Amino acid sequence: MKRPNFSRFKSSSLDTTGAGVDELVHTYRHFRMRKLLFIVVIAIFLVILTGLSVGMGQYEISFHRVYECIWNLIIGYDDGSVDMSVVSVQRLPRLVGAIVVGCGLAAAGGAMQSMLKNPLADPYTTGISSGACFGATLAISLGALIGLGSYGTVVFAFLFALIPAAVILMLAAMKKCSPAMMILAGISVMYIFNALTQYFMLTMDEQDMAAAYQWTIGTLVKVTWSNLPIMIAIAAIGSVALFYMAKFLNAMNGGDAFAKTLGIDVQKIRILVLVIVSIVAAGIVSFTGVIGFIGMVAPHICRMFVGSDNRLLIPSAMVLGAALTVFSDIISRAVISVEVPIGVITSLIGGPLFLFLVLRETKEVW
Amino acid sequence: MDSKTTKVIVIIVAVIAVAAIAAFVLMNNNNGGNNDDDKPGSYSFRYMDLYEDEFDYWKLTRLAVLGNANNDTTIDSKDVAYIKNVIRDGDISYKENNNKYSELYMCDANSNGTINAEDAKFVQDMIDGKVTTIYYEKLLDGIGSYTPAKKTYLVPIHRCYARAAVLIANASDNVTIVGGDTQLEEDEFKSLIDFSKFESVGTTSTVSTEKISSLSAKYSDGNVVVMTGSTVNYCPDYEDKGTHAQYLRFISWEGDALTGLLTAAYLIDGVGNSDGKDGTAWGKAKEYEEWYLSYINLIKEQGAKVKESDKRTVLMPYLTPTVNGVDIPGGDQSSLTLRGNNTAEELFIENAGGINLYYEIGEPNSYGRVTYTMELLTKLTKKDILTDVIFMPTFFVADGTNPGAQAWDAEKIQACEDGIAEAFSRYIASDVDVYIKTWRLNGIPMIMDQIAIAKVLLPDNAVIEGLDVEKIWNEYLDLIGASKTSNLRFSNVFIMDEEPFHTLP
Repeated sequence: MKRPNFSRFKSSSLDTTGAGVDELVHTYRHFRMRKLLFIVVIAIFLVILTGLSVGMGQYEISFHRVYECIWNLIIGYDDGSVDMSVVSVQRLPRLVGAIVVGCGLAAAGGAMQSMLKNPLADPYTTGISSGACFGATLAISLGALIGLGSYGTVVFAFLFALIPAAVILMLAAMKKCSPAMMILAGISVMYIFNALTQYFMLTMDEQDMAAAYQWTIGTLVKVTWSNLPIMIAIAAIGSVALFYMAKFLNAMNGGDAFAKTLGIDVQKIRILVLVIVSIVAAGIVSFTGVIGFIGMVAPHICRMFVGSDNRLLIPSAMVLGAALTVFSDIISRAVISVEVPIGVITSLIGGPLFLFLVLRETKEVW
Repeated sequence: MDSKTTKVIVIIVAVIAVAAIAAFVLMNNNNGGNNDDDKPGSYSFRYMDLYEDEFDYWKLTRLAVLGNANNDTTIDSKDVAYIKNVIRDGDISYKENNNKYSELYMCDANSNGTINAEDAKFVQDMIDGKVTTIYYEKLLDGIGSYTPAKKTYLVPIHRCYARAAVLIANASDNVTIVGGDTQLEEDEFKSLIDFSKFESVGTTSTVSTEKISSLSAKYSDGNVVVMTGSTVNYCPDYEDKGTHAQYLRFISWEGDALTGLLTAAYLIDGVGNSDGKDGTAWGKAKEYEEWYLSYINLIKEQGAKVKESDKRTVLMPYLTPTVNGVDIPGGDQSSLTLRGNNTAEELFIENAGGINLYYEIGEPNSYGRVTYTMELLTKLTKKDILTDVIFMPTFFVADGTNPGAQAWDAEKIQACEDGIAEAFSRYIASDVDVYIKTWRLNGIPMIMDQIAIAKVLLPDNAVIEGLDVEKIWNEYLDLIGASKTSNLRFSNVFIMDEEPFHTLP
């Protein structure tokens, strides 16, 4: 992407009273418009993907009929057709689930990367997903013993996802803990949880192991209208909170010392962002299992296009995260007759795409 | 941002997290239950265990449709009289008189939680063909509703339901089998179902809601009806998945399969047809009932003559051949289960004057008592060594020469027997007869199971000895309307030798 040239507006040549200012404002607006345009293009792409995703399946529905059904749902009109039922009951929960997962994980990943000033930071590398995965595995292993019935898995996943976050928070509370140390702590917790998960899986019978395995690779199959409100609430409130924190994260991009000169309590902001990110990530992966790469790739790609301003980065990452997740879900159902778990596809697509963009990118975005 | 603001945000986020978990738990708890609305059909009797021993309903041959107040096999004027008699001292409400209601819930024909004069009228309307929706006992899942239509398109899931579907579809021009799971593609069904109209909807455990929806759209001039078992194991909660199909969940091997057949047939075309007109599914089901009970009652008569001290005890191991598609090595104790009570076999053993050893010691689960052998071993005592007969499961391989022909895999059977011998060596007396028997012919042809079991448990009984299994099998084919289209031989689909396969040393 072509970068705007601000060099001609150096103070020595700047005409602060005439056409120079107008041109400066115009150029800035143009630059900002291009960033917004990026978000709009991705959003349009997401709308098209929505039609493709909801139109796919063994029950045939035409592309335009999909939008008609969705519109009917929005205005609260049910024509009683099988099409409407298939769209509203069987397919939309999965689509909405994919959008929520993409938005939530991308927002969490973007905020985490900005906060820790590290492109590797995301809910997976900080151990949150691994914690959730271990919690789910433990719940499956204990079965009826935990006495929470079918939602024991979700509750355990959520609670255990908060453990790596708590460890990082404790480290963050230590005054000499750098962002890099926090990442490394997260990775070490991730390894511990991964090892425990593997151990428990070895002791399980085949059926439980299959259920736990499904968890480790992530799936949207279990997303239903009954659990979506919780996911949406967590992702929406968390994302709004992160958006609210964007200006502080922007200040922290200039370094902790710079942020402190602006009167920002860096340590507190870091803890607060970590708490929000943990809850958002835990709230999502506790329903879907580990869906990797979205939280890392989406913000990183957006950073290349919209820069490091978190006020644009977080919403654009959310839209791109949603589009990537929906696209991965389409691929997971379309490639072969047997459905491939979405976690496999996000990694399979996200990995090479990420590598390509990183190698192609010459701009220093960090 | 000051510390006060930070604390406020942390608290808000924590509250959201806790509220999210609480809301999720509450939403998942709210899965039906008693509805206070007293409109007809609004009341779902979900939490009553229809299989509690005190009712013993699983043992009864009956029509499991609400309104069948006297628990016999039809809905007629006797039921109207029964309900009027029950409410002579006043209405019986689930809320106010729970115990009494629980005993008499079959009288609550309109399923609104109160037994009153409206139910007597509702039953009379069922007899006169004036009701549009009727209520029945779903297998292990409370009360379900069904709205009959002129045209019915059946989609049986699992072979045991397919067998009932074949009888119903062959009996009526208004009923057609249009789909089913992959089990229906087995040889047995090739001559029983018109495959030109058949669409596979997936495997038994992965039935496609989208394919069911496609069938609903294709056959919109009538009911698409999925015939299957309990929601725990078959098409879980598909009623809520917007397929526009109706789901009939009824008994097949979990008790008397005849109860399931009668219930399904009545729901499809029994309203206004109590007498069972010819050319209707309900009429054919009543004919089947008469035939079926003639053999059951004959065996019961002979079984009742066996003295308590002469009753033979039976073990019914079942080795799961695969778990998640992976072969389990023969004799693997983790996959060796025993079939217990609340199953058709338990009834058949009891009918034939035998004792299912497991009945005394097993633990209940959703189907009564079926549990793993290693758990069972810890519960065995000296008195349990009285086992006389073991029914060994078969492991089929298609022999490929005749339609539906199958043979057993001798290697797997031997491995299974070795496993059983090892597991029970400390408890089982010598000279135990081991018979090879299939568990596969479940559903309405289980009558053949009953006869085979009777022949083992009543070896010196001349009446039982006189039962000709080939002849009875052909009668069965005739009743399900398959005698002209099928050359299925009994020996090809049902494997059990009358002589012991082996005697344990």
